[in-house]
Formats: sequence, C-alpha cells, structure tokens
Amino acid sequence: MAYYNANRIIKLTRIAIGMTQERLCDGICSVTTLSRIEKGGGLKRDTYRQLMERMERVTEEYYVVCVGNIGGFLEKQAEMEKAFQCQDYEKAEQYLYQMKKAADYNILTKQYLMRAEAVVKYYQKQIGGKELLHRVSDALRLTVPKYEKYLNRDKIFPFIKEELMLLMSMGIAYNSMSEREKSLQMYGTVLRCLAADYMGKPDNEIIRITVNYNISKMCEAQKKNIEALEKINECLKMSVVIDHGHMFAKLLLSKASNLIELAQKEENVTIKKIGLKNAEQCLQQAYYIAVARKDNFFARKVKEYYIENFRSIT
Amino acid sequence: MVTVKGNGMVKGRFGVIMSYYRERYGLQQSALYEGVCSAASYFRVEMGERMVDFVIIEALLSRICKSSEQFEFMMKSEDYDLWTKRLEMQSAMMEQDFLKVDKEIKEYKKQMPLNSNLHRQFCLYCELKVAEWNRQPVDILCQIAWSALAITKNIGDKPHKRKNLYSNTEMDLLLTLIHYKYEKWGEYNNAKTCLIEMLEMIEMCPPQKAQISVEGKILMELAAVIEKHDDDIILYEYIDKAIDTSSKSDGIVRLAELHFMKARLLWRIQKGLGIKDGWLHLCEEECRMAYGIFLVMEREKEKEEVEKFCKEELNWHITMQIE
Repeated sequence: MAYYNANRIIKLTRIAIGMTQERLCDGICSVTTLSRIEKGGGLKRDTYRQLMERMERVTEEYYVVCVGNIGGFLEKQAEMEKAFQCQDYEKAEQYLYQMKKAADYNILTKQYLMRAEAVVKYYQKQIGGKELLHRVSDALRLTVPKYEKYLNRDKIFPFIKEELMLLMSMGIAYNSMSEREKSLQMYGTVLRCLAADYMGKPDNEIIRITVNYNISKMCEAQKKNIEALEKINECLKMSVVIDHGHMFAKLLLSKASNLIELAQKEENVTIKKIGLKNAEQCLQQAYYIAVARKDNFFARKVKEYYIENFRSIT
Repeated sequence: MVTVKGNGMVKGRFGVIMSYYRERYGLQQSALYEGVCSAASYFRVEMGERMVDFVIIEALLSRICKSSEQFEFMMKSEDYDLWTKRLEMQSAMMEQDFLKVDKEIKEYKKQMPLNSNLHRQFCLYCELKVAEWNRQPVDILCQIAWSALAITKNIGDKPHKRKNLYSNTEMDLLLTLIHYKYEKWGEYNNAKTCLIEMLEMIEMCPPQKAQISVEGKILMELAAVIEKHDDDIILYEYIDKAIDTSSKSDGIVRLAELHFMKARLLWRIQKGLGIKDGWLHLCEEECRMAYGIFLVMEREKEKEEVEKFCKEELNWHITMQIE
C-alpha cells in the first residue's frame, strides 16, 4: 500500500510551486490553520481537497487503479505487474488490453495505463527510447503539466508513486539514448523525493531498490564495477529487510556479473579465485530462488550465464 | 477535479470493489462487517456514500483475502505516524525483535484513537506475540488470543462456523487457539475442518502477500495437526497449491518454508511407500530452493534446519550446484 503524509504533501507542494500560505489558504482556512496543518496539525477532508485543488493536484484521498463499473481488476493489475516482473511482456500486454477495455475515466487510471503500454511496447522493441520518453512524459503531464520545473536539486516536489514510476521510466529512456546525465537527473529526483519522508514504507523502499538497481546497471555499463557492487549490496540489504523477493534473483545475477568482470581484470590469482567463487555462489542462489518462484524465464537465463562462465553441467 | 462515475451514480472505488467481490464469492454482508463496523456504515460504504478510515478498509479487504497493496492513501500526519508505527511493529515481529515490539506497544496505545476495536485488537495481538516469546504459560496465551479474537468475532461455543470470514489478524489468533489446543480446538476433526475451510476461503479469493503469509502458517498448523493421522496426500495437495500462490507474491521467506515443508513431506511419503528412486532428487531440489532463500535472507536458524535435515535424513551434505 502506498501511503502518504497529506500534511507534508501540502507543505512540500506549496513551497515547490512557489505559492504563499496566504494565497493558498485564501477562502479555505486561516493562515494560522494552514501553518498548523503544515506542521502536522489536524486536517479535515474538505480542507485537504480544497487546498490540493487550488494547487492543481490530485484531490482523491485514496485511490486504486482502474475500477470503473466493474471490480475484479485488482487481480488483473497484479497479474500484469507479475508478468512485467517475469519479463513476460506478451502476457503483460494481454492483461493491459483487458484493463484498457474496462478502464474508468479517472485521470490517474489513464496515466497508469499510458505508462504500462509505453513500457510494454518498449520492452517488446516496438518503440525505441525516444518514443518511450515522449509517451511517459505525456503521461506525467496529465497530473504535473510543468514537471520539468521540479527536477532541480533545490526543489522537492512531492510526486506520488505513479509519477515517480514515470520519472524512472524517463530515466530508462534517457539511458537507452545514452543521455546518462539526464537519466541520473531523473533517478536523483526520485531519490530526493523518497528521502523527503512523505511516502511510507514499503513502497518507498521498493522504489528506492529499483532506482539503485538501475543506477548500478549504468555503472556496470561504464565498467565501474565497484560502484555497481556497492549499489547492488545496498539493494540486497534493503530487499532482505522488506522481504522483497522479486528483485533477489536479478540483484544476485547482476552481482555475479560485476564480480566476474572484476575477477577478469584482477592479476592476483588468489583474489581472482575468491571473486569467481563468490560469483558462482551468487548465480547458484539466483537460480534456485528463480526456480522456487517459478520464474522459468529467469532461471533459464541464470543457468545459461552460469554454464557460459563456469561450464558446470551434470 | 477528479471524479469517479459508474452506473449513473457516484460510487466510491472501495464500495465498488467490496460489492463486486461480495457478489462474486457469494458472501454475506454481515460476515464482512461483523465486528469491524456497523451494518449501516458498511451499507453506506458499499454505496459510496461514506468514507471510512484505512484501518477499517484494511480489515474489510482482509476478510475477502485482498489487501490494500494496490491502494494509495493520503493520511493526516497523526494517522501516517500511527500506520508507520504499525508497520514497524509488524516488521519487528517478522525479524523476531520482540523487545522492540514490546516497547512500541506502549507508544502505539498512546497514539491510537480511543474506542477503536481494530486498534485494540492489534495491540492485543502484539502482546500475544511478545508473551509467546517470553514463554508465558499456555493458558495465558490462549486467554489473550481469545480476548483479542472476541473483539471482532462472535465466537460462541462452536469452534467454527461455516462461511465465517476472517481478517489476517483474526486468522492468526485462531491459529494460536488451534495450536495450543484451546478447549474445543483441541479435537482433531474440529481443528482440521477449521484449517481446511480457512485454506479454501483463501484459495477461492486469489490472495495477496499478507494472506499468503497466513496461508503458510495455516498449512504448517495443518501439517502439525494431521501428521499423526496419515493424511499426507491431502497436505501435499495444499502445500503445492500454496507454493503456486506464494510464488506469485513478493515475499520469499514463506515460500522457502513451504518448499522445505514439501521436502520433508515428500521424504515422509516415500518412507511410507518404501520407494527411494527419484524421490531423493525431488527432495534435494526442494531443499536447495529453501536453502538458497534462507541463505540470502540471512535466516541462520532455518538454514541450519535444512542442513540438519539433509544430513540426517537424506544423508547428504547440501550443495547448491545447478544441474
């Protein structure tokens, strides 16, 4: 469950968009009341809605995707997310199609489906990085029309979960276009938001793990294996704390790949052997975790990599 | 301004979900809201005329084996802090840090709203877990569990009524009573029936992470209950289904426990049949899956249990080679 501190969001949003307290609360409540709210004081539902509406932000107090006239989409969404995790984009597309058919008119639902479709098409290589960027950017503009203003270090705009996911997708798009600085800018924005303490665990942690994993892949691509390993170990620690099984096999495979690269560069034979041994253990763990989770695609991928590097087969 | 429209009337999303699943699974409204909120409140929730707080939403969803995982909530600061504390306490329980849980219960009680059934039940549930860790006598544990359960469930004399719906917390409390064979829960058939019906309810409504964790606990309790009664084949079917469900969830600790349970069960079945060929390999694979997860999750105690089982029963020093 993604949950947010509404009081904190009001304050962060107001400051980020450069609105004074007087302007925000005019006709809604007194400045004293708003001050109290921003410090964590009592917040009424109507007051919340009015303040958020004035700042042109989403006013709903709770939200779930795609309910429309018919329930039952909790399972479809979960199945689609699982298909994404297992990199079965064909299956993800099937669920996406069903969800789109019965989607409601809510702007947040539209935004979610736009991102899902863009990502599915990207990973199926139907569109490239540029088109991915264009689509997710359009999706983000639905709720934050001038999002570019909030990518700088001096502002923390409290993007909600879906908006953070869109920023991450932009990070992926920029990276695919070799625009690494812009990619890191997106990831940096996400991490700053997560550190601003307006979004609770474990969603906060899950997004943090994904961002750090993406950054580790960028480091690996630039042969900065030690930095990559630091990020991966950080992700593994966080994953253990929140029992985030989905990422373990991926992280361990990535760890193994970096360890192998380092071992290949290493001249000291003993250190080289230790590195390769550690890499082998990571791959073994990754394989059995993937098998345990019935993630056959990933298990096969790990096994092929294992055979290629260690030539162990019985 | 965002609006929600459906069937010509404004209907809250939560109300849509509850009425959809209630009709789909053929559930009675009273089974859903009993002990959680009043009938009038629930009716207005389904019609989208009334907002309820997140603790009630969580409890109602839990009774239909759904969780609030896919929801997003805006909370006032005080609710945000309380919910964060609740999650920290649940996390501490998972990590077996009961000193922290004990300390946090006091703080939680100070912050929680007065006259809230669900918050009171949560506190009692935590107190039960701390009491178990402190090895309090069984009758005290059962009293706490019973008191907690009675806050939201009309238990009565019969140990279990069909079509009863339970939240995760309620199921956990019920499992405690079954585990310690409290009064009528001590009878084999009563315990077995109750456990199987809870499992069937979870299976009927595709579960999410929190329910999968409870499902694992129910299976372990079922294993303990039927172990001496030669119903291994029934248990095997349930474990297999639970593994299937659990593999779709995010958490992996429960998945590891299920794989290890399956390994032990397979070995027990083959011993009974007197056939060894093929079974050893199956057991080894299940053990490797469990072991790999316990290793990564730094669960030393569970890892050692797997090593011990492999050494003593399979006569094998566990290795993780990929075959």
